Amino acid sequence: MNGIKLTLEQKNAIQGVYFNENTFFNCVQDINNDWFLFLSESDKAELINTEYSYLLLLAEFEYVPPIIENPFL
Amino acid sequence: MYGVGFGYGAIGATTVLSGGGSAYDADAQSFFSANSTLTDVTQKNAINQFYVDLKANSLYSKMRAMYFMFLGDATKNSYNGVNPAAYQLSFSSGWTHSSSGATPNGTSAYASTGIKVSDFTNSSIGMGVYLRTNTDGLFCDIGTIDSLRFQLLSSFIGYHYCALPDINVLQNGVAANSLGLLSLNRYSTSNRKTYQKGILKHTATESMSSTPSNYDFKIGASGGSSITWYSPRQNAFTCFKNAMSDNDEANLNTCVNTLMTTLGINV
Repeated sequence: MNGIKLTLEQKNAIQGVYFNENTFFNCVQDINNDWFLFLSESDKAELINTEYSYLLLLAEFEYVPPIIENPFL
Repeated sequence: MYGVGFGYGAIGATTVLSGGGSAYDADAQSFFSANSTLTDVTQKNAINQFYVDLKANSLYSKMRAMYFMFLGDATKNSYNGVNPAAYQLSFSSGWTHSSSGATPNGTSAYASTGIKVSDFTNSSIGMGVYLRTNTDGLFCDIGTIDSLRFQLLSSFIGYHYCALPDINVLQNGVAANSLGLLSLNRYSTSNRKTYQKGILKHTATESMSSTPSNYDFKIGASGGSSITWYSPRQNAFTCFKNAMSDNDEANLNTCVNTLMTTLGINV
């Protein structure tokens, strides 16, 4: 899966910020602790012609998820 | 977003006239009035019937919050069908909303409810999700967690399970898949049950602490100070309720399934 790779400053600028009445940006870290943003097609449509439209121009990179411990095993 | 405690709607299926001359259940009308961008008549009629069916089965008064996740966008999906002024959902980026349900991306998408375990009495808490995706994995569809205790409802390797305060063990019930209404009830600190499609799957009686998590329930993931176990499963309906009896769970499943069948999205 590919996602928008962000610098720490880019992440800090949007994390938790609402871009419409009911939706906020949530960024996650990959296995290397790099920050990624994943936008659905409807998210992208919302961001066009907004102050966050620059996010749509950022490059996408392959996302490798961190290893999640399963407490039940 | 809202900090109002749980409120109960009117008991009994009363009706009011809408602007177009049609009659809706009073609580359904309250939901429609708050959710003003919801205009699809087919969806509104199906939801109205759902309110009527819940009340006919004495279930509406036992619901604390409910979310119709098939309304097509984050705003419409966010309103609480029990009390539209309370516990409105906040969605993260990464959801795809459609007339079949809301689908999180399984990587970063979740919704905050504002509902905490402390909002319930310790002896009676329940929650349920109607899932339309059959996917195995360590995914949480409703959950809250802190460093010591957690509560969640999920499906993993053919089982669905819950983990309530102080019980870090798999409470599994054999489930053929992760489809339909998955429901979890806690009746006391030593009695809880899980259901799929109205059928009891597992009863657990291990003693557990009543100390609740300090964080609100998430939909599509679990989490407290950090969010984890993101689910990719499509969610068509989510509810929080009093712990229900086996008979109530069967009737709730019938009501929910009727709603989904009317809309052509039953599984």
